[in-house]
Parts: sequence; C-alpha cells; structure tokens
Amino acid sequence: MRDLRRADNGSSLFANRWIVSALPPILVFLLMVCLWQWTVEFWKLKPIVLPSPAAVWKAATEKESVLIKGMLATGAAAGLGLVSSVVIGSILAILFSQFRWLRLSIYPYVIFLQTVPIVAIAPLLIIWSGNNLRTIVIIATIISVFPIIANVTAGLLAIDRNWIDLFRMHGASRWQSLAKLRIPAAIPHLLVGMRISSGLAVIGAIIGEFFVGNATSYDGLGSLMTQWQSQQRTAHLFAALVASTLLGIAFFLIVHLLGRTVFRRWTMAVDLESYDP
Amino acid sequence: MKRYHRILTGIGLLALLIGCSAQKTDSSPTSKEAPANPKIKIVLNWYPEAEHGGFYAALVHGIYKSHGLDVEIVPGGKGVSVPPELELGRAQFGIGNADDVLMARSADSSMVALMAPLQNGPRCIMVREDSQITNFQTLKNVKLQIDSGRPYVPFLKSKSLLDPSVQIVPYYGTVAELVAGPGVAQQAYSFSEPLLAEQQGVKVRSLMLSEIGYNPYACCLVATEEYVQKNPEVVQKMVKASVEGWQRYLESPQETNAYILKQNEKMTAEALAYGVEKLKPLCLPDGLAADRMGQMTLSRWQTLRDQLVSLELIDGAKVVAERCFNDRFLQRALEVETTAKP
Repeated sequence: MRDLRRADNGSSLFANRWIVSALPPILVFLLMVCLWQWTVEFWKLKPIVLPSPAAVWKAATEKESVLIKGMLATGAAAGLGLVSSVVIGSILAILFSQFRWLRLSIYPYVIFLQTVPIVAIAPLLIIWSGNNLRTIVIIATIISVFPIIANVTAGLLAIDRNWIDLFRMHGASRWQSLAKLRIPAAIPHLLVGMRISSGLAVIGAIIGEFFVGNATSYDGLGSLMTQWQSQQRTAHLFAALVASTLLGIAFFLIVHLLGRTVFRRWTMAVDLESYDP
Repeated sequence: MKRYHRILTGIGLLALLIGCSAQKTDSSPTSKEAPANPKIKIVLNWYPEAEHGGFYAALVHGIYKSHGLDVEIVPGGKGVSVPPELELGRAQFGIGNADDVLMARSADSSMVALMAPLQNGPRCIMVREDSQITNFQTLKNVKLQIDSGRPYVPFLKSKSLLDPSVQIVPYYGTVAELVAGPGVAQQAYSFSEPLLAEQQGVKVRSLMLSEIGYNPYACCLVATEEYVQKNPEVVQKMVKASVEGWQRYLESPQETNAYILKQNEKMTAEALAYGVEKLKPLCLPDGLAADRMGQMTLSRWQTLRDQLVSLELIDGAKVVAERCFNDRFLQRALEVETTAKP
C-alpha cells in the first residue's frame, strides 16, 4: 500500500515538475502569438509586410508535406554537419589538450572558423566541391564546429590539480590520464558545445541550401525559403521559418536526450534545468 | 510559485509597455497623407541598369522637375522587395515586372502597374554557343543556374521544357561559371549578361522566354491603389514624365548612361550602350510608335494571370486582371484612345 502511494506520489511529482518546467515557455509562446496577432491587426499590416499567425498556420497546413520533406532534407544535412563537427572538433580538441605547441600555434586560426564570412566563401566551396549534399554539410560543419572545439578543449584542460596528482601518484600514463580522466571530465563540456552547435548546424544547412540548391530529391527549407521569398509568399516563408525553428528545437532536444541517456554517467553533475541558485 | 508570479507579472508589464509605446507612435503606414510638395521616391527592383534608363533620363534631363515633381530614385538590389516598400509608404512608386505585380496582389498587396516601358520581357536562358543547345527542346544535360522561385521555372516545367537531366542550381548574379567551362547555362536578361559573357571571350546564345509564350511586361512603373486614389495629380504627372523620359532615353541615352554609371559602379559604359540598343526592340516591338510608349492591354494581363493561376503561383480568386493595371493616366499622357480596357 505504502509502495503504491509512493509510486502515486512519484508520478504526480513528475507531472508537477513537467508542468512547472513546461508552463513558462508555453505561456511566453502564447503571449508572443497574441502580441504578433495584435501587431498585425493594430497596424493593419498586409500579409506581404507581416502575415498574421493565422495566415502562417494556414500556409503551413497547405504545404504540410512539402515542409515535412524540407525538414527531412535540411535535417539530414544539418545532422551530418553536426556529427562532422563533433568528430572533427573533438579530435582537434584532444590534440590541443595533448600538445601545447599545437594549441598555441593553431588555436588562433581556429577562431577564424568563427569569423569566416560563409556567404563570401560559399560560391568558392561550390566550385571546389560541387552543387551537392557534401558542400551543404561542409558549410554546416564550418559554422557549427567552433563551439565544440572551444568547449571540449576547455573541458580537457580544466581538470582539478588534485586529480592529476592522484593519477600521477598511481603511475598513470599520459594516455591513461586522457582516457580515464580528461575525456570523461570533458563530456559535459562537449554536450554544452553540442547544444550550441545543434542550432548552428541547422542555420549552416539552410545557408548551404541558399547557395547549393537542392542536394536531395526534395527541396530543403533553405530552397523553399528562397522560392517563397521570390514569389512574395510571406506567410509561406514564415511557415518555413517556423519549420526551421522546430528543426533546431528537435536537434537541441536530441542532444539533451543524449545527455540524459548515453552520457548520463558523466553528466549527472551538470543539470541545466534543475539548477536554481 | 512566488517566483513564477513575479516572472508572469514581468512579462505582463513588458507587453503593456510595448502596447503603450506602439499606441504613442502615430505613424501608421495606412495613414500616409501626402503633403503639399511631396518628395517622390521611386524604388528600383534591381541595381541601376539600362532597364531603368527611362526613369533616370526623366531625372537627369529635368523632365520630372519640369512637371513639378521632386523625384529621388532609390536603387534596389538582391535584398530589396518593392511591394513592402510601397505598402509601408517608404516609397511612393516602384519598378516591377508584371508577374511581380500579380504575385504581390495574390499576397493582398494593392500594387498596380501604371505604364510598361518594356513590352516584351527581356528574360532568357543563356547558353554557350559551343554547346549543343539551340532551343528549349534541346536544353538537356546541363547545370542551369536559375532562381527557382521565379514563375518561369514552373512555366518551363509545365511545358515539359526542363528535362530531368537539367540540374537546377541557384543563380548568384555572375556569368563566371558559364564562362569558366561548358555544361553550364544560366538565367539572363538579353540586354545585359550576353555582353558580359562575350567580353570574357565566350560567345553565347539567348533562348527568349517571350518566344515560347511567357511574356510579362517588364520594368513597369507601379504604385499602390491607395496612393493612386489619394494622389491622382502626382500619378498623372509621374506617368507623363516617365513616358517622356523613356522616349528621351531611347533617342539619346549618353547623358543618362553616364549618370547611371555613377549610381552603379559595377556597370560599364559599354554594357549600358549595348543595353540600350537591345532595349529598343523590347520597348517598341513590331514598329510600335514611340508615342505609344508604355501601353498595356487587358488581354496581355489576362494571359499572364491565367498562366500564373494554372501554375498555382497566384490565387485566382484574389487576382483579377483588370485591377492589376491602371492605364487611365497613361492614356491621358499619350492622348490616345485605346480599346484595351473597357
């Protein structure tokens, strides 16, 4: 009986916690939609200037299948870009943590990745790599790799001196320290980097599609946005923007879920949602 | 819970603040009353080129001034969209192609065309002369740089003129890739890009869209219905001066071209001189007299409207051909009776 009550209490606690964490963003969303609708009506704005939320909803339902296919096409490119960023960024960060001379000589140039005007180099990338998915993934990678490098490098280096001394006392080799101390300690940092990069990868894929066009048999969100902007379909353009936002949120949640499942062992100490000073 | 109350109260206050600040400002775009001597802005649909020559000629030769108009021509560009500029009252007139007018009206804009300097559309697909492509039927196995949102792309598809072997890629406004090697075709204006390619040593062929039935009026002078209703005198003067400007530009473009060059440093004198020669048959096709400059007919608008409706690019219920253009001012300006519009 007591167990049942405890289980019941547990589920109601979970429900309460969910309501507490979900309610504020839902309320803000509803407020923003109301404000948007009010702005359109108050200023008597025409859809070509700013479509109402209702018009955007109508456009989204009209083009539902096109938008879903667009999200899949852009999602695939962004996903590949994010995975490339994680792999390339982590390898570079490990190298930086192990070789001080490498870090000192190359890290400043890595900052270049953050400042590179992708719009200016995209046509060049197309000449080098062609109008294909690879080029979109390269663009998404260039845009999303820096937070991974910066965070993972910081994570690998910010180790408590006492832990390093302990490993030394036990005669751990450099690679043992890396594998058993530094990399596990850097995983929460990797996840923070991935949270930032997940959104950037989506932006990178969309920018890539602006330049490359369709890399798959479907129009990606970037291609759809270009087309609808050209056709002055502002409500449709907004629907594509909402779809890209949803895609970014989906990526963020996937990274969040990874932190809660696959990497749970290393991330238990870092819980952004429950942290409340 | 107290904390959430505080947060919600904060959000409420913020909303109230935004509301109050919005109400304080009394510059609604719908309340654009024209002052006595208004400054008239014309926003272009692209960077200044030969296609805008007639409007610049009216400015350069003081034709607008002689009609009592204080005109400023605002260059357009890749990111500039004419309909919102007009709807928000930031410009009183704009330049747009007939298909742009139809698409804007489908999006609830009240844009109307007042005169159409280019009777035949200059839009073409440019291919290398050393390619096997001689017409739209042979447009195959090529990378086509094109703005896929433009209506002529679905039009070509509907006519089965875009073979599956044609790879459609975005157009970035340069002839570089076509010049660099074979296997590339691109969208172009017949009075502009062919010269750029030939200057770089590549002979090209222009496949005109107007010849396969897609022929919107181009570079039309446009304004919103509201502006036209409130300012009929300004519109009348504007149309008359613009017609005179175009007549002047086609006769003697040198001074105007020199001015356009100052406005758009990417242009060359040679390109503008070439442009104006190519524009002449587009502005006055089939022996059309210069005093009929800019004329529009209902049947042309109806054809285009029906094409875009069948391509599902515009809403047929919203777009009525008769309301897309207003040639009342043009007829007065040309002092000719036309049976184009009942």
